Amino acid sequence: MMINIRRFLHGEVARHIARAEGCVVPEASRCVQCGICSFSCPIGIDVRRHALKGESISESYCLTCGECVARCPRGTLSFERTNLFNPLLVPENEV
Amino acid sequence: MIIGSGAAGIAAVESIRSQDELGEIVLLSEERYGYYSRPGLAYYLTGELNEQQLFPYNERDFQNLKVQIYNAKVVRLRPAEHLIELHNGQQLRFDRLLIATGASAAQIDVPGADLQGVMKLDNLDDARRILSLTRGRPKAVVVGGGITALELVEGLVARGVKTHYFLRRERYWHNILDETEAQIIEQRLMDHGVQIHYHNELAEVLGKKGMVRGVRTKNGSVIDCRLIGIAIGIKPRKELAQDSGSLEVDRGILVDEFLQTSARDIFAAGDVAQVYDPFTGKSILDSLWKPARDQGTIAGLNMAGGHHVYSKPVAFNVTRLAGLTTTIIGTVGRGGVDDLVGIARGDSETWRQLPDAIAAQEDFEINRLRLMVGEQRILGAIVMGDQTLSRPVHTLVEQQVDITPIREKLLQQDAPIANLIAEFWRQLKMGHVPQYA
Repeated sequence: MMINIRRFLHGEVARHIARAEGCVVPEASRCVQCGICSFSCPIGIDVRRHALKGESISESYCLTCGECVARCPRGTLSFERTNLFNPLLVPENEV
Repeated sequence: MIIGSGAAGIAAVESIRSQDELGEIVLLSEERYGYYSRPGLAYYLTGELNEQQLFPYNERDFQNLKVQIYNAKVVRLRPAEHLIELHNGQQLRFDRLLIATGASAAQIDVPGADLQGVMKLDNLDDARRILSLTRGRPKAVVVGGGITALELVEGLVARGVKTHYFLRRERYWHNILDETEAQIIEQRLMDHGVQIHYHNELAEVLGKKGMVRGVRTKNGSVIDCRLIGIAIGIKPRKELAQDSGSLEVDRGILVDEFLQTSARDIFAAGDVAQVYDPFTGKSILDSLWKPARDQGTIAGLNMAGGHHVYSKPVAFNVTRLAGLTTTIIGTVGRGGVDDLVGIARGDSETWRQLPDAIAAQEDFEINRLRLMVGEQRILGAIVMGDQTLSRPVHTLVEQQVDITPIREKLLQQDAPIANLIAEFWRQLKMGHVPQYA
């Protein structure tokens, strides 16, 4: 199968930018503290601790790799876009 | 003083400490491992996390909470004297007490139920034993119609165990899920090699030298197996209150909206509490994680001198059924608890109240949305697969939003209900729905 390299790279770059501009946000009411999120974080962020408090993953070194989002069995985590300069775009539960 | 180290007990410790920096808090727990995520046991069985990860708090967290934790069994409660007695005869005095003893798995009443290899999934020891039994890849039988039964099935399948699943009715969780939803789940199980036996019940566990060797079913067939998982419901651990003679007890320990029992200075929260709901006038059991935490928090605040009302929220639970994230909101079911003895773990009696509603539904490949549409509002919903609409629907149900502008459209045949809800939600957020502008 032929792959259009330029289109593929463009998609990857767009995805990367989207992730870099976002952060992981929990919906605390869905969390049962099972810990799969912390277990699967490649750099050891205790995602569960944030999830329980309903706090977004504010650590700037979060890779936004998406492992915790994908593996949470209860759909607790999602990506939300952040914008340092526009407080209106800060995720709802942080306002 | 708090009896029980589950979600309600720990939430109570946190809320008491949030109000009172210096007061003495004693937590008594029969659970030798202390506090861990009980819902997480399902994922420990599947191998998605390790045992260490089940523990959300470390020693320093408990030091910060300044709580004294003792591994002890409370054998007697003397409410009038504000005393409890431990298994070793020691007596302890309390000013205020929270009973958060939770619930335990209901036993199945068939011959051979005491044989080694008949398992439940109540605590970490159970999960460990199940895992050690799966090492030889034995055949297994699972009995029960709720979430825990499915967690057992999924855990066993993940460990390479050939699993037979017994359902008493014609489909899985028939009083909560509709036919299509149950079919989706059953098909996914069958795709993973699970053999489902409909209209089937356990008649007898067959054994040899004290070990499970098979089962005989009520229709007479014999299935060879070495492991039997039983999840037919739970029973609130209310004996302490019951035996005290002065606490009102029904199916659980009865508490008022302040989570206070009928005895002064004694509170109850979590799976053991049967909570009065001022809106319906009924006292119901909710064996969900979030209500347990919320009740523990309110009970703790009141033990610290507050006067907070626990208002029962719209029933809301997220679970994973055969790999599909599923959210159950509000009232969705048809009453009855045929496959279970009473209530199941991860279950709310609210789901089974009979709604005066018409179901509107939309299917995708493995995503599904079912709404229970009442006169003016959405009374309940099940969101399977993609969870994008879960939050909007939860809000619509919880805040009793008037859906008159879209009600008729929702009820038209083959209505694109997901799109209608998404668009209504967008309009609502933008203030374009007149009554919410």
